[in-house]
Amino acid sequence: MNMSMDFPILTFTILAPALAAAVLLVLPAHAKEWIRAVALMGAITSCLSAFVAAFAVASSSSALSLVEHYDLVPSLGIAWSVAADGWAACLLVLTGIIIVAGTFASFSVEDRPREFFVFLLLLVAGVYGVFVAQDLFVFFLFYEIAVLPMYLLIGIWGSSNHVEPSGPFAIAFRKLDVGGREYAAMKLTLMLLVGSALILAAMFGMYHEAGGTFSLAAMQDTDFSPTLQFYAFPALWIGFGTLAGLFPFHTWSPDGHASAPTAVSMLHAGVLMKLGAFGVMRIGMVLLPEGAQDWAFWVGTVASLNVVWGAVCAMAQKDLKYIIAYSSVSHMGVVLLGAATLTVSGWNGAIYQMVAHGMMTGLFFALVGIVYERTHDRWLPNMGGFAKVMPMTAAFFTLAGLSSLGLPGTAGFVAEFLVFLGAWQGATPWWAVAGAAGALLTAVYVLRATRTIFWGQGPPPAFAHLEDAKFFERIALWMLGVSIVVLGVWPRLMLDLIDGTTVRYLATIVSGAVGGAP
Amino acid sequence: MNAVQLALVAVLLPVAVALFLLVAAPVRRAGWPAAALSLAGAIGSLIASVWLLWRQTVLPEQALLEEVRWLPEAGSSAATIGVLVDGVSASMLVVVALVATCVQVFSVGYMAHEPKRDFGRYFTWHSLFLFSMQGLVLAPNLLQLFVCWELVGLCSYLLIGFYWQKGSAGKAAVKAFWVTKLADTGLLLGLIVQYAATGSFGWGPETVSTLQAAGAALPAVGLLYFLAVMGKSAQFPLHVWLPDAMEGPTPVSALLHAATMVAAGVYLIVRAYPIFAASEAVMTAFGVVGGFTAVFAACVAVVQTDIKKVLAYSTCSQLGYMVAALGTGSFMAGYLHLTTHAFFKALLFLAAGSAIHAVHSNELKDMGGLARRMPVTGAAFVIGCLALAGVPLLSGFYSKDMVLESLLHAAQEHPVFWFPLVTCTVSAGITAYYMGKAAVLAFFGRASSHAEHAHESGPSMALPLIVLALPAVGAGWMTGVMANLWGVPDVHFAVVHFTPIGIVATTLALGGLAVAWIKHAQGGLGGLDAAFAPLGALARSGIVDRAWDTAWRRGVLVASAGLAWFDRYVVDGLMNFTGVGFLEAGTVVRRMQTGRASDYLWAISLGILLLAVYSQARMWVG
Repeated sequence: MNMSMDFPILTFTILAPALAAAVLLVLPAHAKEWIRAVALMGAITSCLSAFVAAFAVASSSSALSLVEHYDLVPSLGIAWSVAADGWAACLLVLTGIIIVAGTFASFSVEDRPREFFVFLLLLVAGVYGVFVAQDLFVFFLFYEIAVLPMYLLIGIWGSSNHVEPSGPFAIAFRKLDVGGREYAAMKLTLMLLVGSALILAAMFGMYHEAGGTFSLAAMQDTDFSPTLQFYAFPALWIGFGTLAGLFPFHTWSPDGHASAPTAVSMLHAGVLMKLGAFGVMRIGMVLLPEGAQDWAFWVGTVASLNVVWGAVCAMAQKDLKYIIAYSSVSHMGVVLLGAATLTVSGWNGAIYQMVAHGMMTGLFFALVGIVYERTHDRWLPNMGGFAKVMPMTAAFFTLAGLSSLGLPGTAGFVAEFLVFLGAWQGATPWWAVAGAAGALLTAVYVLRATRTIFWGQGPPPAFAHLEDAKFFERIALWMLGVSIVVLGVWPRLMLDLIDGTTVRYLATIVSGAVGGAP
Repeated sequence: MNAVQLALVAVLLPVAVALFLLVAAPVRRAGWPAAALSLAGAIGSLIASVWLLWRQTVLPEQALLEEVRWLPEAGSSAATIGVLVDGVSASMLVVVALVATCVQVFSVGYMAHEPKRDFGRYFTWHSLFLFSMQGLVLAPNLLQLFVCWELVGLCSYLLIGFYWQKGSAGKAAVKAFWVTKLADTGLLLGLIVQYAATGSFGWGPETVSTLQAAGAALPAVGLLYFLAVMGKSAQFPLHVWLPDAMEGPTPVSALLHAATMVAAGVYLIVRAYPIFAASEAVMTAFGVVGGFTAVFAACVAVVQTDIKKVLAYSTCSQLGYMVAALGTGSFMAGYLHLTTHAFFKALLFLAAGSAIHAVHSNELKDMGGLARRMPVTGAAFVIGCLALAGVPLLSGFYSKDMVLESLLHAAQEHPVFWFPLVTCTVSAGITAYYMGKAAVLAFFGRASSHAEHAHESGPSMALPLIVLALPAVGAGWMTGVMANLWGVPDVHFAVVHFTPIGIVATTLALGGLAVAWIKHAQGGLGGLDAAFAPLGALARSGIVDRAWDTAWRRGVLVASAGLAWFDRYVVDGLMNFTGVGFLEAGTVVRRMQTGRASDYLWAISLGILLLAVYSQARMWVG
């Protein structure tokens, strides 16, 4: 495929949603159907374009495909430089699927839909950009474009709940409206911005040593000094990691996801959290290999803690959205765990887990949205027997749950298996035990929630007339559900693509790690 | 068709049906078409399996392997999926397909009163199960075996929870999943450890010798796998899910929770036998755990009043026999007992199902005198009962005899095997007693008010009973053929044979049956109740269940609530506190911005003064 030569497909993928957002701005606010149509067009165009890009990458033999390069500020070494490797190709496809599904799931937004879709599409443009940026400055720019709309999306369209002040810091809970949507939006934004500040500091250190360029390729060829690596890596780890739900900076996630509207949760847990983990791997580990090795033990140990901690906390939740949000904290721990192993299997598993978790958590939040929209209730003890009135929702919830507990035949299994395999091959085998414990705990809370919500004597009288998923919602459910199963049954569809890139990147870190098996 | 194609038909036909039914909702919801498709899939799978078995019997030496790489080359190159056709898998394929077909035919009658959409759902899960189980049987390596292992677990969950509106069914389904998932973690970790040590998921001689060279890895891997076996094959103390699993429809209990799925654990041992056989610690664990489960579950079965619970505990007990026999190194005894047990236990469950269908109750006290009213069912149950008890010439006799003989041999070499030898021999008597009791209470004596108008429920339920009764009677006569098929040398088999241990066991079994008849049909032996009283108390206390429940409530739930509190109020509390700290600091510092020119003038003057003092000070010091 010679498309890369002729057509800037990656730039087009990034710009398609942004253009749709621009068109939305000139539409009249009351033309809801037009607004939805344009937003959907933007989403579908970018999704198709992401697929085309992924096929192009798959059929190319070079390390980076679809290279585009235009100097922006040559004096500062900043360039519009985008290209896709195997990792990016898969994550582009994930993003495409999630945004289309998310758009379908948002058709029920009635409050200022125009502005809602503008922010949503802007956000997703940023996500695409991060995955393909080959210039650290552009990378960071897109990273912020992806993160910032979240403040408005949650603050305006979100929902609130209330948390009783208690514990040693009750004073702080009394001063803040903990659990409210503005609180959640502010907390998320502030915590992520502190992370960004750390990233920025590391970035400038690297820029300086690389001789005044932001080009990732140039940085990869630079031998950064051990001191810089030792200090810059943890800055990137914590900075990006905060977005990936890194313990103990994960606390924005439960409140944020619980308050966010359906599609925003889908995108945020589905793809945005991946930006964090992607940053840790693509920028932190690939560019600062010695730093990665110095800190790998801590990255993996904290990630193991993440896995178990998130799962145990999820078990105790009674609010449906909090369960899913904590499960994201746990599952993103699996990504970071895989990354920390510095093995081929572990890295393949980490990237695959990003895709798998993106699909399953997107599905989860779509379903939770469907339930919440009809019941206006997220409190688990109030529910029961919903399978009678919404069988399709129940079926897909079960599927998402099975994938999240790592059942073979779903994408979740492949990812977790590879990560655990890598952990045992790596320097600290016991991480695998923590990971497996996390999977077991997931089975506990997921099946319990499924039983509580959907099984049992048919729904309480207040909910006796709930409606099952509507047409557009069904499209979203089927898209994500089928993806989960297809990727679980024949993982090589994506893994072969991921594998090539992993081997190349890992070769720079650990000589001899390639091949993995002893 | 060649062997590989036949195997692929046997495994892929059911999954094609299952996928079609999952996607084509209207067909599924119509009920009958779904059942027809599912049955077609099962029969197709059965024909292919029988054909394959025939080929394999003619050419027993030939093992065929066809596989494709499932995960990428680097780091996981040994991860393949495919089919391995040899005598061991070919015979199990037929067992699974035959029992599944019988059960599906039976279900057409048994489930006929369900709403159409539930009827369709039921058969969809059956097709999915058949695929998963055949995939497990044909697995060329432990990775695929694990994948299918989890899928049969999923089907078990879905089918136990078939009546999801019922609270107890939901709880039982989730409990089954949790307990087996806990055990399966052992298989997952074992796979990872094995792969890291050997670079293979297989059980070939090279893999085993590499494992052996790696020291502690071999017993560790073996014990981790055994943990999974204990969950799936309901070994003490992980058996707690199996009695609860009886919440599922009775045909499901026959297929999954008696004949095939619970035997998957034993099949895992049979399949990967070289890995286990190489470690004495693992083999001893088999003997001890299997032996204890055999007698423990048999004792609990004695005091059950629900016919399905009797059979469920009996399954636990018989699986214990198989595990113990495999611990002695006698592959033949363990696998033969698995095979015969599949037939007679499926028969028993289906006969019980037919009785339950007629009287609308699981309780033995609601039955009675059914043999006259339901002759086919009665005959089937009695045949199954006698086979299970180990009455000579019936299939159970041969396999149980072989199990006991292998235990006797082992005990002479390793004294620890005296334990399973004694427990299994004693259990032979107990088994005969509780089965005799169940048969007498349900099928003989006076009919209860529920049972007065009981009658057979038509050919779809009678035919499977007749078909399954044949191997339940005669499978044992094929022992020589099977030994040849499985490549076990020097098994000297005669249809009529006597061994000392066999005579002891047979005497015990006949005695058990006699006691059951005298006590429950004739009302004699009143003193026996007093003897069983402590046993009854033990069984009713549900001590193992309670221990798990306490660990769950006092341990897991409390810990999770505590940790969640800590996360909310301490970890997040600290974040909030930091935030509030900045806010408060801001309010303090804000006061300096008064907006009055005179204040700023004062501040500027003070600044100039301080700078002046500072520069003078530096001059003096310098």
